[in-house]
Amino acid sequence: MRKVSLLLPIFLCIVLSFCSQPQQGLDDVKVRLAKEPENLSPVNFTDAQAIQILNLLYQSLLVVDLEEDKLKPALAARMPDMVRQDSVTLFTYEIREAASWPDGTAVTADDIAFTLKVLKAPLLNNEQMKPQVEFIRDILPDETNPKKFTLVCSGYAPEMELLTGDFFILPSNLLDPQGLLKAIQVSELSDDLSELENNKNLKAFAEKFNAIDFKSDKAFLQGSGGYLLDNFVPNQYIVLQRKQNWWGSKLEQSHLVANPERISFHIIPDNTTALLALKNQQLDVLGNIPAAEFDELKSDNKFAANYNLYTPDSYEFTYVGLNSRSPKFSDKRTRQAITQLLDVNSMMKVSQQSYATPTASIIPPSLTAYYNKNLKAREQNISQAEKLLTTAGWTREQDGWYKSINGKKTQLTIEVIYRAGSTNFENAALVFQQSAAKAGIPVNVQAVESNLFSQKSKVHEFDMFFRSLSGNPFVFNFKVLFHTSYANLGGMNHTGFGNQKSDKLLDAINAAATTEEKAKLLKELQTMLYEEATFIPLYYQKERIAVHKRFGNAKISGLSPNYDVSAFTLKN
Amino acid sequence: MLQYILRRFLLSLPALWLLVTFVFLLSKLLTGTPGEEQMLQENGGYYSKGSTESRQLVYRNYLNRTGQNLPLFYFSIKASPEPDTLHLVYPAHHRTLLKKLYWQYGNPEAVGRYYQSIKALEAALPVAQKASLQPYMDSLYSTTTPEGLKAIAATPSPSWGAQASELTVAATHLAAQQKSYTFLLPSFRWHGTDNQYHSWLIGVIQGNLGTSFRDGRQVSSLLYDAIANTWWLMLASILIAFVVAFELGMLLVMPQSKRLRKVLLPSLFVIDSIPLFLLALLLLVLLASPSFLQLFPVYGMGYHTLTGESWLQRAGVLSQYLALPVICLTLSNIPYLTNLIYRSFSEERKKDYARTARAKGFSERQVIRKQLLRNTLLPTITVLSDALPIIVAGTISIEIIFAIPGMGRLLVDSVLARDYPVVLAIVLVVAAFRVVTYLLADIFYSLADPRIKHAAS
Repeated sequence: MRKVSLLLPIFLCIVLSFCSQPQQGLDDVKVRLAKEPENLSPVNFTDAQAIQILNLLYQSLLVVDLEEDKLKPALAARMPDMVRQDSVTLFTYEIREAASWPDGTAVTADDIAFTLKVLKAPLLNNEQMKPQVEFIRDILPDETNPKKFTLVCSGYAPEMELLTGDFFILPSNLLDPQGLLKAIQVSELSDDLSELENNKNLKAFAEKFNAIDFKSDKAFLQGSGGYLLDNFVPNQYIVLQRKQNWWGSKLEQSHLVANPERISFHIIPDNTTALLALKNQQLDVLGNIPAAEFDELKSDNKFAANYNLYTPDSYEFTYVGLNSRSPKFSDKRTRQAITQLLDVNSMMKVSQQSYATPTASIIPPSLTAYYNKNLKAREQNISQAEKLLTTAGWTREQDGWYKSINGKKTQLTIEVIYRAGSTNFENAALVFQQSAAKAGIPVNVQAVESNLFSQKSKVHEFDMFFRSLSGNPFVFNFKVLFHTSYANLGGMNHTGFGNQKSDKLLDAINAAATTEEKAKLLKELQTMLYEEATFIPLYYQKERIAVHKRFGNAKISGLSPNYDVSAFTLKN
Repeated sequence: MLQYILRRFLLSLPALWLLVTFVFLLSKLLTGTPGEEQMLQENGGYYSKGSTESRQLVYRNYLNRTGQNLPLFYFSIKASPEPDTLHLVYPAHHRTLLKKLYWQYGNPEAVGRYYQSIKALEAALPVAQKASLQPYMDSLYSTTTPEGLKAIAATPSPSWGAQASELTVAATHLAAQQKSYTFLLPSFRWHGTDNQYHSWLIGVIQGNLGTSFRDGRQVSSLLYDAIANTWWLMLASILIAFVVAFELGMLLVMPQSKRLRKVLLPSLFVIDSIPLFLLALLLLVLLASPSFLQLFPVYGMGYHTLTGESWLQRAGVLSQYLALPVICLTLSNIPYLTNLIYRSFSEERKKDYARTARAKGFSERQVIRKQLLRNTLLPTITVLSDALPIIVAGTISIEIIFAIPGMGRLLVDSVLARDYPVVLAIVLVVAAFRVVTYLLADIFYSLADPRIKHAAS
């Protein structure tokens, strides 16, 4: 035993002597992921982590260039030609001449048709993406050019251009070498699919396709993108290796690049650990840094010598929804009074340490062409709120505001709900509770479990909620959020905004031919939303990102994932 | 002895089966299924990706494909008016309406007719009127009281067509045909072997734990990877904790350690009261940060560039990554163990045989190490068999903080994603592990104290 007590310190010394800092590969970009992607299936991915990695392995027809936040052609040679006919819209694409698969064969219209079949067919693991391409009814190959094709889409919506180019193209040679899906037409894959479920070829294909391990199987996880999967260690890291002689790098297009030799994604669930790893220079890129820690990093000179910090304006905003169907809030002036109690600046300070931009409308203030500058961001004004309540018929009594609704004396009370687990919403709701208390309105703040929260908002069982929404700078089709046809039970128009006039306006926005016209109509919609005060945007968040200084050309953007890791270049 | 162990093992099998069955049934009673939120993701936004209807259709097909639409167990007991197929009704608010109506009116046929008439009316409404009639349609989908139904029967305008009159008839019929309190009658339904539990259990018996809902990988291979990592972490920390605890216990019990006791016992108490995650973060910030002492790497288990080396080199690399987690787990276990061992030594020290040994001329050190040690082992064996599951629980926070892919993290991730096959497999493994540790404890008891062996046999 005495020997053991001697051995112990010796053992510890040996352990300590092992301890050294891991070697740095200079051209290896190390990115943190908070969780492992559930899968890397290009037709059934479920999370943002998977999209980030898949974007490096596969390509879509179109891609967002994070440098300019613009939609640009990726596999397509140019943006599609659009023709609107009666009940269909046609998008004609041509694939880049040079585009090829890792085995050297060219990407053709056949691959697009194959991809659509895989996305739309029954029996396959494709549930996540299937609804998104439901509107594509058929593909018409060009008889003279194997790289040209036309997608037939039902109806028209402004997002169609984006969505026709927003799915990863799969290599048909690799995934279906026997051509099992050749006999099935894309047009057969809409509406009733029960007959196809017994199709022998499809069954055989499904069995093979569903068995592919879309997480670590290097042989099948191959696309036309600039990288190949090199190593996948479950729950630890995912390493991508640059392709030799990738076709895209010869084009010299700034949005089609594969600069770093290696990109590794490290799965670190805990924020504090990730921050320490960053400080230790074990990571090169860290996004989603908590605001307080970000401030700390900013003032840390040692850290600043190695890392650049960025705060791009994101397209995600926090908003308040008021249930206009509730008799208490059916009067516009009552809702306007409540907006006067929203102290947006305090909310931003408490929950985002002011890394946010207040907004008066759903359009991000950074999009100056569309943002209605005449509207003022919400500020707390209690006396104005009280005035509005009085005009709406509420009378102030000792313990609050009362009004006779349907012959019954009702007190103005508000129950605020938010998704449980979000401290941002919780803080914002508490700030609102304080302001409301000053005006004499009792507010009850309640965290609600995620599933229940969606359920409650869908069946309109709420007074007021806090939630957030993610947008983008290129498509504005707000019909789902604001059109009265979505205001039914289970529909997406939770707040009950809308009337015939606003419905017409929403249709007109979608039909607008020029940017000027669209801007004018969007501004009109913003004014309407502002006055109706059912859907009240509060602030747009800023992202908080750190990137190692040895890399340049990070293409920082407000769009997820907020940087383009394939564009990183090594500085001298 | 062998016979005894075999008997204990066989007796533990029903307990294992009961435990896993309970967990299976309870976990399925939670709201939500894997993938539901993503498939039905309805956050709205700047544009829509697929209509609500197509999302629901896809979701139902998914449930069909994965067998999640089947009944849960061999039988179910429900309120008698409620049909078996209610859980297949979508969207959710239709299901809620139907359930309320079934319970309130107790007449499945009349309820079915009324529900169909609402749907027919909704489908037949002219597009131009849809928006203005929306509040009315919403009220149809939420009204359940007899008075409400009577009001509905009175409202529809004949101009809406035949569907409107059918609705009036169906509503009146429903209100008139109320069979109150039938919901109090339970009805027993037999589903046969075509149920989720049966197919899962058969799979488990055949050694197939199923596939993960998240990535389609075999649960057994997922578990194998995770257990391998957790195993080393646990083994190292238990061994070190026991050795250190014994050494400390023996040191503390020496008569000359009075001063040491005064310092060490309270400080062990302080360490014991620090929550494990806080301890981990503290050590991380103190020992793996450039702003203090940078001795250890921060996270993970080493990076890919290290593969392909000899096992010794790899063990060396692994040990530097596992050093901090092991220190954390060890530190968190030492206070309790030391205390226990110290108490047990102090008890034994007072006994006659210890005094005899001392009288024979053994030094205090020899008395403790040669005479008392064996007898103090007994209570520690009990603790050892209990400690393993507790350490598995402790590894959850350690694995998350140090980004080590082990059982704890797998369990948390699977629970959050409602990946039931994985959750159940982990429960099964932990339970089986516990059974094994109890058996081991029995064996160790008899080794440490032969009297127990005789009693058992």
